[in-house]
Amino acid sequence: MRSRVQMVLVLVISAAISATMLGWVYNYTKPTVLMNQEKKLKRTVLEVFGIPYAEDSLLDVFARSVEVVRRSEGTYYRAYQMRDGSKVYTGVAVELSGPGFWAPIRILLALEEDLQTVRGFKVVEQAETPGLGGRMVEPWFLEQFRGKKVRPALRIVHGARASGPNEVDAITGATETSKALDRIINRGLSSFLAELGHPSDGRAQSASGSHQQSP
Amino acid sequence: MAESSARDTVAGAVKAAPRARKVPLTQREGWKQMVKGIWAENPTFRMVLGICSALAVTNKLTNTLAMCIAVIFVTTASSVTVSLLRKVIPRRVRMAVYTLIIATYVIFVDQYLKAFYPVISEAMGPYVGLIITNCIIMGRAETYASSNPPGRAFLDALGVGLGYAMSLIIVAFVRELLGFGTLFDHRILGTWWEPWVIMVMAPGAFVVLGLYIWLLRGFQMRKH
Repeated sequence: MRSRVQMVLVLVISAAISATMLGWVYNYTKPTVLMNQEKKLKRTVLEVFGIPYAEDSLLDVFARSVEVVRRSEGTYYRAYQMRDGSKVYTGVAVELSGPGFWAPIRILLALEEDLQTVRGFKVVEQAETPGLGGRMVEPWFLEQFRGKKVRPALRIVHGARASGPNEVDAITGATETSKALDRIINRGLSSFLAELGHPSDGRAQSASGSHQQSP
Repeated sequence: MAESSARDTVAGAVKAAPRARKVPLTQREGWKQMVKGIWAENPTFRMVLGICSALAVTNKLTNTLAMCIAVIFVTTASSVTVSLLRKVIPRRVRMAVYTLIIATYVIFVDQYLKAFYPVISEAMGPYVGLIITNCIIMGRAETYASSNPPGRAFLDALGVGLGYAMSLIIVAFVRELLGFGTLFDHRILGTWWEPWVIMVMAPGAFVVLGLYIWLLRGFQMRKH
């Protein structure tokens, strides 16, 4: 009987001590962890727009040049630039996501104000095969999207060299990841643009420019 | 001030005196135990423990180093704690208490990395949390720390931790060099180098780890 009481007592006390310590550590690190996440997101948004910033002025620059638009389908960002003393709208960035080869992929895609030309492309989250699909975070892959047209659709080209104004090279050996990216970008963009009143696929465009018509 | 410090030294000397006879013996044993953990009873190539993390995080040296430091910290801290509590913990619930102690330290490390080294924390993903399941730590708590004083438990855990670190760093060195052509993310091999993609993936880890165990065991056998 005594040993049983001791058993329960030791377990309860050690669990209580452990819980107290962890609670304290969690509370102590929480603000820093949240701050890290916020900074990381803001850094990615500024980078995808190509807005220069210094690490210590990150939050200021973000507040000055980006507007966050929250809606039920997800958040998107509008970029502004100071021109002749007034804020001028220069482009939009949206977060798109979908299944990758191994795990969900989340990307951030920025368009110029014409909503046709890619301004920047960044990967927010991915867990593709390192050295194959994982290479999608490398600059050579991301940079080639800049200036490409998203209409009628962005194409990730396998085998051949990309040549058209809407084509980029796929990653060698990562066909599935490239396909997944292709899907995420084009599906996500067409529904996003339709929502903004700019349907992206050829079918809607040919419908005599009625902007409100969504596919 | 001078008076009090003088008194402290005297008191310290008096206190230390009876211990002084015992210290050298214990210490020598402790150090021996530590070296055992690195070589004769190395967790990776002798006991083949902790292989899950050895496969998972060894594709880059930076991640590997963070993992090694985390494991060394958790092993030593939990061994010392278990050793301090060894007379209080009832035998029948010891495993539950060890798990609790280990988990507490692991979450502590995880949270610390998240707050102060977000980049490393992200690169290591779930593997920091999975240190809890590393059998090396539970093994030391059960076989050594639960029946030895804290000082020796510390050295024992440190030795095993260093032994684990040595193995992981060697494996990661080979994998990162061949798989990326880099070391600590610095390019070592020129652009002529065609990275061996297999080295970056799990099969490459199996191959390198297998060769490593074979080589070191062969070397040990030769010496005997």
